[in-house]
Parts: sequence; structure tokens; C-alpha cells
Amino acid sequence: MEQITPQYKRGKYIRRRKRGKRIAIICLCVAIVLTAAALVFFFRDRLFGSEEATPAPTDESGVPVSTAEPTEEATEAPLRGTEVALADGKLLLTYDSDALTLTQDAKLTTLLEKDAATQTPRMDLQKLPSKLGMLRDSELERIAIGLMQAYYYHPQHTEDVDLTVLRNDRQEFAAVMQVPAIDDAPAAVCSVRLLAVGDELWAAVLLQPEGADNAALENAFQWLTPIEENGN
Amino acid sequence: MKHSFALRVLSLLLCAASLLGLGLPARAENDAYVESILESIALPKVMGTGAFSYEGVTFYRFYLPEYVLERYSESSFAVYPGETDERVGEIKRILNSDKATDLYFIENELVTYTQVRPEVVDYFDDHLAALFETIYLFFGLEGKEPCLDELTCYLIDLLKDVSKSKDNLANHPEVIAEYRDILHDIEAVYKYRLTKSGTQGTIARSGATDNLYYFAQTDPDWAAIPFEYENNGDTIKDRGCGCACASMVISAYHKVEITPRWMCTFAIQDNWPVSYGLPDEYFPGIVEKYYSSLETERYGTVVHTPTLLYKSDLDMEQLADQIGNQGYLAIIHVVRGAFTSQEHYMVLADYQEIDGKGYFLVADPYILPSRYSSLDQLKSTDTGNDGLIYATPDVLYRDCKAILLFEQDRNDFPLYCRATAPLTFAAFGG
Repeated sequence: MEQITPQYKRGKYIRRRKRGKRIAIICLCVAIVLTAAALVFFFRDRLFGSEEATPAPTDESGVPVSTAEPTEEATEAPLRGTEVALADGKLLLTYDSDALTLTQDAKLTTLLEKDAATQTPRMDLQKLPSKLGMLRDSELERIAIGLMQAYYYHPQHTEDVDLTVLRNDRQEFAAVMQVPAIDDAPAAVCSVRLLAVGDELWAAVLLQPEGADNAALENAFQWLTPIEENGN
Repeated sequence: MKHSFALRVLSLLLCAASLLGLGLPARAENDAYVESILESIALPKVMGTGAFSYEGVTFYRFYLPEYVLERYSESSFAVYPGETDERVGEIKRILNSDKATDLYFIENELVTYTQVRPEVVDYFDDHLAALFETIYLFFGLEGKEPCLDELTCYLIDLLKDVSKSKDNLANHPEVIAEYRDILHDIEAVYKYRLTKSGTQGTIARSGATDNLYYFAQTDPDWAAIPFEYENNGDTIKDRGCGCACASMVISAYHKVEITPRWMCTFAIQDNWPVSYGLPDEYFPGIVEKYYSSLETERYGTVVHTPTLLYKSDLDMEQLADQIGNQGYLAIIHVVRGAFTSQEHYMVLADYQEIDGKGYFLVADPYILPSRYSSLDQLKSTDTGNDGLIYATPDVLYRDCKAILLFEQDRNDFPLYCRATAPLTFAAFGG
């Protein structure tokens, strides 16, 4: 009896220690799995691209946003007009210089109707300090809304904006917003394209107040092509 | 077994908590990242107008991007009018421009000397509330309840930066002019609001609004300042009634606080003191020399030279109409009687019918009500200011030696807009 007790105690101690190890290993595994799951969930958009891309709009929107890849558009569309290379030659803007005027300042490249008395309709291009692949769906949508709000003295509240995503993949995020009349600003359609141009993110915005559609601007907006992305 | 199971559950919970802890800062970091992108977006602002109309005058707004408003949609603190808080004091000191050491708002009087005295500096007074409402108006936030919260602090920071930029942008006079103009417009609308609501004037040491510019010669801030006649050792308290009255009246017309210190300085500088204090001619004298156009460039206000009327020329009925209905102010020179045992100046600030009897509202710069006699002709006010007393036309006429009549409406304020375009958030460098 004198010998059994210590052995029993020692054995129990050993068994406990083994059980403790098992628990620790299980916990570690669970933590690793949970961490991996969380990381995958967090960066799912960047790893796999978005699954929220919606089909191209019908005629209801009135906005001629491309339903195909820009490459195909660029090669199939009858591109005739003045070409301007932006983003160190990685972004090709093609527009009808008979109908439109191009201006550039430190931040914006702008297309307006030639001899227009007003600042709308218009198309603007600007580089944003990010990369398309770094942004989640909700962030892309917020930026698109922010681009629209920048045209207004009294912008629509973000939560009230009616935004339709037209395309969302590694090359482009495209969306259209129907903006109601606000104060003395008329109702308008605002189309946004966020383009991956090399390592840069470029934003194109087409703003057309109700009844002021402009085919030349729509074409320029549609034909905007990231060259490097397409291997051109 | 139970112990082991509990241990496992606990471990799982700890794992989940650690993951949650990792996720939260990442979320906040992401919000900040998106906001940094939003900040970089150019602001063409071609839809709508940055102008608004106030009292028939068109003004221009400061433009605030929507994401800024979203950022401050909730505040971790809020201080409301009538409350006392150290943060109020900090904001008041920034907005006050009455010190030579000030870095900000050197050309504006947004918070006055009497608002930052130690007794009231932390008190959220009515003038500060009116100023905040005016600032909200210019930022397109009309309807927001005046309070000191994170958004309000942010707006004041923007204005502070604009104010300071005057120094930083010395090589860009056109930008400085733009900043100066828009700050002027805020200041002018603010003063206009106070004037038209009848709340213009000084803030009492209790924190209450005096509803007129009131300065006492007995105020400890300057009572002991020497104001001698032939080295007799006298102070402003002893013989500065004329200085205090001039302060009250000229401040009222120019809408800024001009304390008796200045009046005393100019009186001595120009050798005005006489044996009994100051002569009647002192008032037209300093108006013409120093004060007629003091704030004309800033506000468009002017002070006309007062008319000196002796007792024999006085029509108290006409005076009551002028002061009560036409907004005139007067400084009355009284001799021994209900108000003093020697000679004294006081301001006639208003005229009212109380219980069917007419009274002038007298702003007496010497606060010592116990010295009054002819009490049946006087009536105390409910303002809490012991320097204000109602007096009948009869007693004033009886004691009057002369009157300095300022024949212009104290409620006039030529509101106009200086800015020519809205000021954008980007222009702040924000």
C-alpha cells in the first residue's frame, strides 16, 4: 500500500498532464481555424473578387454602361476621335473633339460639351490614392457615392442614395446612381467607373442632369480603356 | 470531466474574443482608409448653389463634404447653453480676440472681453449660442440645436485654421481676402442677429446677458486705474463715469466692446479731465477724433457726433420718443440730486411704460444703489444688474444739467455680404 499510492498519484499526474496537452492542442487548432476563417472572410473580396456584381442594366437606367469587358468594347466599338493617354499612358481616353472640350487641372481631367454655357453634363477623371483590389464592396460603393456627392453643394445623404452596381471584378467597379432633384439642382444620373489602371485606381464620373443626355460624353465614358490591363 | 469541458469552452471563448479584438481596430482602420480616399476626391460642386439668403442678403456657405458630417453624426460629449464646462472656456478663449497674444481671429470679435472673464469663461452664455447658430447657418446646418459637441469643435477648428492662414498665406493676398471676407460675413450676421433680437451687449459676471452694452466705472477690472486731475490720485472708480458712459454708447453703435480703459487713455492723452471729471465737450471730442469710423470698414457702422443739449433746450417728451421709439441713446449729465451728491454722467438706454407710468432705463456706471434718493421716482429692474435703474422723466429733468444726444438708431446694422463665392473644405487645406 505504501508503494501503490505514490504510483497511483504519479500516474494520475501523468494522465492529467497528457489531457492538458490535448486541450491545449485542440484550442490551438480551433484558434488557427477560426483565425484562418476570419482572415478569409475579411479579405474574401480581395482573394476571390466580388460575387455581388450584377448584370448590366437594361434601358431603364438610360446609362450606356458596358456589359462586356472594356477590351472587347475597345476593339469592337467604332473608336473615332481624339485620343488622350492618361496615367503615364496606361489609360486611354477617346472623345469626339468636335463635340467636346477637354480641360485638365491638378486633380481633374474634364470633358464638357463644346461651347457649353453650363458645367453639366460632364465627365471627370481623377486618380484616387488606392488600388481596386484593396477595397471591399461596401467601400467601393461608398467611394462611388462620395464621387457623386462631390458635385453637390447639398449632397444627398449617403444612406438615401439609390446605387446600382453594374460591374464588380478585378478590373473595374461600375455603378449608376439616380439622384433626385435637391434644392435647386435638377434630378440627375451619375455613372461611376472605378478602374484598375496598372497599380493605380482611377475614377471616371459621368454626370448627366435630367434631360441633358449627351451621346458624345456617354461614348467617351464608355470607351475609356485601361491599356495595360488589356495588354494593348 | 466537467472541469475539462469548462476549460475547453473557456478556451474557445478566449479565442473568439481575441479574434474580435483583432477585428475591431481593423474595422476602424478601414473606415479611416476609405475616408482618406474620400478626402482626396476633387470637388467640382456644379449642382445646386452655395449661396443662401439671410434677411434679404445673399451670403455664401462653407462647404462641408457629406463624409465629414457622417463622421460627426454622433458626439462623445455635448454641452448646452446654460451649462458650465471647461471645454466651453477653451473654445471661448480661442474665439476671443481681445488679447494681444491671440493667434486666431485677430480681425474678428466673435467672443468678447466680458464673455471670457474668469467668472463666466466656462459658462455657455446666450451669445455663444447665437454665434454657434450663425456658424451652423454658414455651414448649411441650420436647425441644429446650439451645443458644444465634436462637430461644433471641428467647425471652429476649421475657422481657426482659416483665421491663422492669414499669416501662413502672406504671399497669396487673394486667398487671404477670401478668408477675411467669409469670416467677416459670419461675424456680421452674428452681430446682426444679436442686434435685431435685442440681446446685443455685454455679458454680466453672473453669465446673464445685459441686453445692452454696460460698463461700470466700479468694475474691479479697471476701477483702480489712475484717472487723475492735477495729480490728485483719483481712479476710474472715483471720476470715470464719463469714460464708462462713452464706452457704453460707442460700443452700442459699433457693436463691439470698447472698455472704459480706452476712453480713459484717450481722455488723458488729449487732456480732457477737469475738476469734476470730464466736460460735456469730451464726448463729441473723442467721437470725432477716434470713434466715428472705428468699425466702418468692418461693419459699415458709424457714430455721429452727439448734440449737446442744455436743460433749457430739453423736451423730455420728445426725448422719451427718441430714445424709446427711434433708438437714440443719450448721456445725461446730472448734478446733486437723486443719483449723486456731486456731478455724474449716466446713459439713458431706453424708455418704457411700466404700469401706466413712463420711465427711462438708466445705465448708471457707479454701482451703489444705496446712495439713491427720491426713491418714489425710481424703480428697480429685474435684470439682476444693479447698475440699471428706471427713473421718471421728472426726476431726470430735475437733476439734469445737460444731455449728449446721439441722434441715430442703436439697432441699425448695415448687413451686407463681402464674400463673392462659397469657400470649400479643400480651401481650408482640410
